[in-house]
Amino acid sequence: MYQYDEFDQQLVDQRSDEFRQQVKRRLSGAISEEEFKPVRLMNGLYLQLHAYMLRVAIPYGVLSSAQMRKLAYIADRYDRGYGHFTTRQNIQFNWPSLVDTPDILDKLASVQMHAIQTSGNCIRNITTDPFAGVAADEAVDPRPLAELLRQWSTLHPEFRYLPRKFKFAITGSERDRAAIKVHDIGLQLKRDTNDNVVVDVWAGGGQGRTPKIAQCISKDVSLQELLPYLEALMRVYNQHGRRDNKYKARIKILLAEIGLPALQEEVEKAFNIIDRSRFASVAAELARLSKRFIAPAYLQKIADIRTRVATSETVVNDVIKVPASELIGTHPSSVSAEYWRWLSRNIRAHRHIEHAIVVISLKPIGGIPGDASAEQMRALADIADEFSSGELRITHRQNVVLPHVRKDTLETLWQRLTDAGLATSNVDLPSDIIACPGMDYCALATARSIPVAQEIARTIRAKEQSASPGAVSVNISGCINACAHHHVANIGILGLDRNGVENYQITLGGRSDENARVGERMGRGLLAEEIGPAVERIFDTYMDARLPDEDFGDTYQRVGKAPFKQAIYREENATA
Amino acid sequence: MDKIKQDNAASGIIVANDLRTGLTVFLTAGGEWAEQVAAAWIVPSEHRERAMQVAAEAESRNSVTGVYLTECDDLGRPLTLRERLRIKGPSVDYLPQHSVESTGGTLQLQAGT
Repeated sequence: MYQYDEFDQQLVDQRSDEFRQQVKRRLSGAISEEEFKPVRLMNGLYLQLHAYMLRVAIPYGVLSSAQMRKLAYIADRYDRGYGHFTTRQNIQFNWPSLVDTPDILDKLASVQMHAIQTSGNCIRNITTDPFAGVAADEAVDPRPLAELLRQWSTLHPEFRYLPRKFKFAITGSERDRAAIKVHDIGLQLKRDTNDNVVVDVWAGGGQGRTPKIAQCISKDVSLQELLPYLEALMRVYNQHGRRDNKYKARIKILLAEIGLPALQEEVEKAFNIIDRSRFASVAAELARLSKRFIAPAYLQKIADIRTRVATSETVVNDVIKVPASELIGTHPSSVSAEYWRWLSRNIRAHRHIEHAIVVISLKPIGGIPGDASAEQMRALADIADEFSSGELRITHRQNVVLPHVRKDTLETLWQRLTDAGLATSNVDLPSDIIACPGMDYCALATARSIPVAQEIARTIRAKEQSASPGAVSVNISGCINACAHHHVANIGILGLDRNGVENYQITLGGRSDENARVGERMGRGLLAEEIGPAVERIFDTYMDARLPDEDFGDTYQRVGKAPFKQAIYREENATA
Repeated sequence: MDKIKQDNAASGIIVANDLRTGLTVFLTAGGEWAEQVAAAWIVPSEHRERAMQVAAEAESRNSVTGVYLTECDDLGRPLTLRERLRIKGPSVDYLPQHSVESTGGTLQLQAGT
């Protein structure tokens, strides 16, 4: 994991002190709410439907056990005993008070965390592959670059007041687990024929009311030129992005309006006049940062880890899985059905033959997607210490990853997770739902997400367990801002207000991987109580049409919209 | 101060956030702020202006922020789901469930009604 240096620590400490003074001035009336609002937003503090909400950055989703324990402490001491992990790999606390927030920031700073730039029209938390550094299929570890970009973008004076918020995602694998094509800028790290690291730069992806898949603006950019190139791209966006209409202010709209060739030309012009001497030390800095990612001992022992991809692992569609039989070496009948299901669903292939990546579902059936109690956070921290070299990851699917688990400890780990209520075996199944907070918490929402997600999970659980499907993603957003990424879900659900009644539109066939595409809208919206049965019928249609080992996205692309639409509106079709 | 579309014939309650805690609070008939909606002053349409004046003064004294009037029926029940949720809190049991596979329950889609 990355360890702060003296400068990093000083920055977060100073920011915390600064915010304490700003809160003091607000409470005394020295500054008005209008003056204070942009200040609190720059420190991740929103005013939501019921209370303040603090969004804490988890850079590229990586957490130490000590940091997780601190989050548990904050949840207990300053909130209501829980937190909500988000699709941006962050955590949100729903009930902090303004007067406590400076103390919370101090506590965060004590474990090298902060809430800087988790809101506002600036570059937000850099996200990446939750399996970074350990994935069996990885070409380049994206974390050092993610950290370089975090440092470059933090308080960058030129990019603090962009036309709109700006999001980066990075992957170092061909299989995109970071959804780079639905970000403002997505970076694909790869190796050229000479084994040098080069970067494909994708721009203009995004969701919200105008979903767009990113376009490749430049291929094979060297690491030495990447930062000046990104600075040029940001500069062009900052100059030409619209500021008159916030719904048209993202880079995706600029790209759509002027077209890719024109944007490339503008960026090239800006790139050519940037003073490159400012970036002369980038390579050395990347090397320095790489050394600050302290790898567990088992990884340090391997001279060239890229050559150690396990031969016993099998590629299944776009998700790499370790066959459960390889893990336990015995016939399934000799182990419990629950353990077998968990092995089959929650384990992913590690680049080291004796290790596995474990995905811990934060989607208990009937629970709130992405939420964890303080007690569960402490359990996760203890489990990370015992089984994963003290390291955890947060995924953009609102789950938790243990990246360093020895295969011979899996059964003990599963028992420990079961005791903590964290062994739900549903990763990449329909009940593994991404849900935004919706109208239960969010001031922007037009409908609720959480109770509908809970009902879908309850409705589909028995069927998904018995049917052995491929991967199926279900995402539900409570408004058009699409925080739950419903546009790029296999089954996307958007909650709207129709004359005072919650109404839910269904889109199908979206995907956020390397073959990213926006889902197709099916037809009229449904009432909340109609959604669970409709998802069940969609699932049945998929299972009927599915070829062996086929995920939902591939089946949908092969058979098309018609049978699914017919299934959703079955009763209407019957009476028509 | 936030402005919302208003039906001048309807009653209303004055809602805000406590500046220090952020929690939703309601203006009482005595001009205080209470966290319990039961204590809220159900403002008849003819007293709207006076009630908003009291609320605005509180906002200028920095005890509350985000003041607005939400329309309600004569029993103080807000007319929209959003406002009912704002007043009653989340419609879901927000402490994460410990047991995962055995959790039962029904869809609660009538929050605040």
